[in-house]
Amino acid sequence: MPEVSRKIFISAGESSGDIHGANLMRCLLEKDPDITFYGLGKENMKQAGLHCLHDMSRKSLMWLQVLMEISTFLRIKRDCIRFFEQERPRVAILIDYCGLNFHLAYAAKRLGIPVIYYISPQLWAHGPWRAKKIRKLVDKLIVIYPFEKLFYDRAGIPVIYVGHPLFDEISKVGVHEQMVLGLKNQLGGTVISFLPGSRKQEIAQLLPLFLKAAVRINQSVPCAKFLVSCSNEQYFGFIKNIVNGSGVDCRIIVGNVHEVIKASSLCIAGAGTVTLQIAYYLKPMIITYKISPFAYFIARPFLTTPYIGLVNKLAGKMIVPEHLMYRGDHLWLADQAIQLLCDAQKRQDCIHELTLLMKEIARPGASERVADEILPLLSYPQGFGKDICGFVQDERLNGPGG
Amino acid sequence: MVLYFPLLTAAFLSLMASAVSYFFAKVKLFLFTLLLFYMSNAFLSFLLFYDHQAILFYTIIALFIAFPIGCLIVFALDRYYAVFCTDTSFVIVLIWLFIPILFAVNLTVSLLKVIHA
Repeated sequence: MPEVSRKIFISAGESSGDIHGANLMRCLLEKDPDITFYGLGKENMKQAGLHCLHDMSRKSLMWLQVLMEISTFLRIKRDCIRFFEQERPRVAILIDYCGLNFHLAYAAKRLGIPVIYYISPQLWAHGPWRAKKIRKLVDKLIVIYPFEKLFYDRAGIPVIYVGHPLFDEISKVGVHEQMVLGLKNQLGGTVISFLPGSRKQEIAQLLPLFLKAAVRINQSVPCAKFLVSCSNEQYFGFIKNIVNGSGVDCRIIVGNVHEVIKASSLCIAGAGTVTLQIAYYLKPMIITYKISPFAYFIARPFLTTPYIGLVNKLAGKMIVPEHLMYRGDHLWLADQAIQLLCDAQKRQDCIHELTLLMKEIARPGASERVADEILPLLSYPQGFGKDICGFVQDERLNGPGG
Repeated sequence: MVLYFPLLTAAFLSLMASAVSYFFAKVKLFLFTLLLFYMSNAFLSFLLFYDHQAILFYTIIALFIAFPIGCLIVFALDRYYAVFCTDTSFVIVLIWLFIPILFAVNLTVSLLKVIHA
């Protein structure tokens, strides 16, 4: 067998993708130290050995922000295409972030580079028709939720389910038990934590609502103490301003999200991966997501799942309270929180359901399994990768453009 | 001038009907009511602007009718044939931003004409 290149292109644009990408890179390097990684990522991936074509820090943008940065994204895309043409990586691993990664998938596929898409965009929740794009653009899809496999199987896409890499991260990092104990001792009483999300827009929407609910909760549960989790250090000042303006006595914790969750009796969170972290620690939670009435009107016909929370979606039933709000319904939030704190039976039921769910899905080793899927592609001479991952030559010409 | 009010009423009712049918994902009804909305507004704009400000009339038709319909066609093509890498569902936002503007322009100018008549 001739000597083959060990260059892999890998792209992640969001913080979570950066963490999962870094874990995957480490797993691949453990199995094959000759691999070199090129692509797009952030700090974690750079530390794992990525030759960064563009640093994607501060590129987790939404809506109009993307339009404002369109020239930057076009430059990134152009540079990636140039890299594909000049270096011909063995495989392109694209992690979530479909806004840019779909374009890179198209470019890679056109040049005959096998495309592995790791962590699918949540098409099952909004826009299932976009599965057609994935079928055209991707050679193998690696998904992290069991129901996604069924969804993509039905769409005729080669897909494998590996489990959620978050559980690798949790089992690897562990919890600082002393910090948990310290938080509990310092605060005393019943600790309620607020986890509004990692994006500024989400924090601005949800945190004021949580704090309004906190006032109401305190009236019914006077021993309640509040923590706000700040996952992104750059938003500490922003969060502090909101908290100070509300007049609620809250402690803001930067990072250490596992410790914050573990120290809490109840978590109130935005709909995101953090809900899985909360479920992992078997903490009762309330999931909320707030959008403007106009956004709700626009999105309503495209919502195809009855659940906004991953935990409920995974369980296939409502095991924790959730609410998609277009008005700030803090009374509902407070009411649910009081019930979960004061109604022992409801609390126990919630914890029992979370336990069952976690037994089913909380298995570490996702990154390892992804690495095992990717490695065979590197053992074949260039061009043979398509045979392994079901790559059909003719489809390259029919892929989406634009 | 006699036609303004029936057309405005038709435009308003079709706007409401298209909003409701869109919200409840009744696609065929939405497309039908949207067609009624654009037809009534196009005719209204013709009566209001064509004689004295033909350029304004063509601008309104291009910007508020042809452009959103084009967006809708792009979205439909993408939905059924996956033509673009970019997710085109954002065009729905554009369409729903332009619809009320078109109605507001026609309503305001109609009322001004009636008042000044």
